[in-house]
Amino acid sequence: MASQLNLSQFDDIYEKTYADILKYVIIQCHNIDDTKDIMQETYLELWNLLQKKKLFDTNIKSYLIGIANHKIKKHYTLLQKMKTISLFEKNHQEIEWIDTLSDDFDIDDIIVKQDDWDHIWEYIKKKKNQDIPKVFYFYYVSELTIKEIAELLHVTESYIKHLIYRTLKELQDHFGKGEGR
Amino acid sequence: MTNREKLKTVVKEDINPQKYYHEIVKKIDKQRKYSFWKLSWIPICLLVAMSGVLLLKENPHRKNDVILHINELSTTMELPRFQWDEKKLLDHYFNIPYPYKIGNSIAIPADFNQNYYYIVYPEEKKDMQKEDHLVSYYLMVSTNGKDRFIRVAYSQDRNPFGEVFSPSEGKSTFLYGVELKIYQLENDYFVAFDDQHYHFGIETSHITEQELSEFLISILK
Repeated sequence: MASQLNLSQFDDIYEKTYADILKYVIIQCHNIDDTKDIMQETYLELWNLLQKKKLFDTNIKSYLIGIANHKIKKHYTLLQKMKTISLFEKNHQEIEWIDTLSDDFDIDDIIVKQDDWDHIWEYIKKKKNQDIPKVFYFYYVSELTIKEIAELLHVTESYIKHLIYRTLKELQDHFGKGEGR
Repeated sequence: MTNREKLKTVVKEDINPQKYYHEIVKKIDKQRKYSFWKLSWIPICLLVAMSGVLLLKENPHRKNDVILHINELSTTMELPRFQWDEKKLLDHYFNIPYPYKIGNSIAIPADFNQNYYYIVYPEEKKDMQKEDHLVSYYLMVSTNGKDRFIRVAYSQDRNPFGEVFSPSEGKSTFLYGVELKIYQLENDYFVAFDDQHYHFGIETSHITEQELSEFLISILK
């Protein structure tokens, strides 16, 4: 019975917190594909804590962010960090390129030969610069503005624009010509 | 559906907190089962330890590194006593087939100073002369002349205990590849088994379990 109560409490916490924790994990993770594992590890840790003590008086969101932070650090060994380190990083010198792309170039302007967005998303996720899938997630799924994303990732708006428009162009070139797979 | 919607659908399917939640709950369930399993080891270990103690203490009985499974007989059961009034006393055991392996030194209690050998006939044939064709079983008795004895009955044709014991009744004891059924009622043991082409029945009185064990080992090894 006690476990059932805890599970119900757990459900409630998950419902109220998952969106913010997910956002935090996506921002902090080195590879967007690790989101699932880190989220699971974070909430399992919370579950285990709920078995040991009551957390009613705790700011549960801060608590979860603390757990997530710990899990993220634990998740990546130094070697993994080196493997997944962004080659693009936040090299603001690259922003110069943005001038060559049109600002009003939109995702719906892309004409892909094979209308398979599963593969397009996989392609985006595999980018060495993991800011790209993160930006795509926040921009197209969370529907945040470029300004909000720039604040989340602590980068300039130009950098976000650059990533979006450059990647869209790449998608057009890659999938539009049917060379993607 | 626009490209934006298509991408959104795909990404939401991939990074899906509801799916994560189901995975988390599955893992919680696994943890619970594992915790239960871990905790369940405590009573299991206690149970095994207690069972071990009880098994060693009561049944099976371990004597001389041999485990005897002794089945308790009910006092209401018909006792498998050999019948005495149909026997012919012999002068020497040479007059009957020797039932044991040649060379075995038979371990009988030290105070057993009297030995008797009999041919036991079927009741209706006891007055007939051609014993060999009418033998019911042979009987060897060792005793202290008082209340302690070992009686060994054996026959190629029939179980000396008749129908009193069913072979499927009770736990078996295995000694040197021979399956024995051992029963106990108060101070008496009854043993039934087949060996050396004979059906054996052994009846003892007031001997210890240790003495029984030593005797059985000596005739079967």
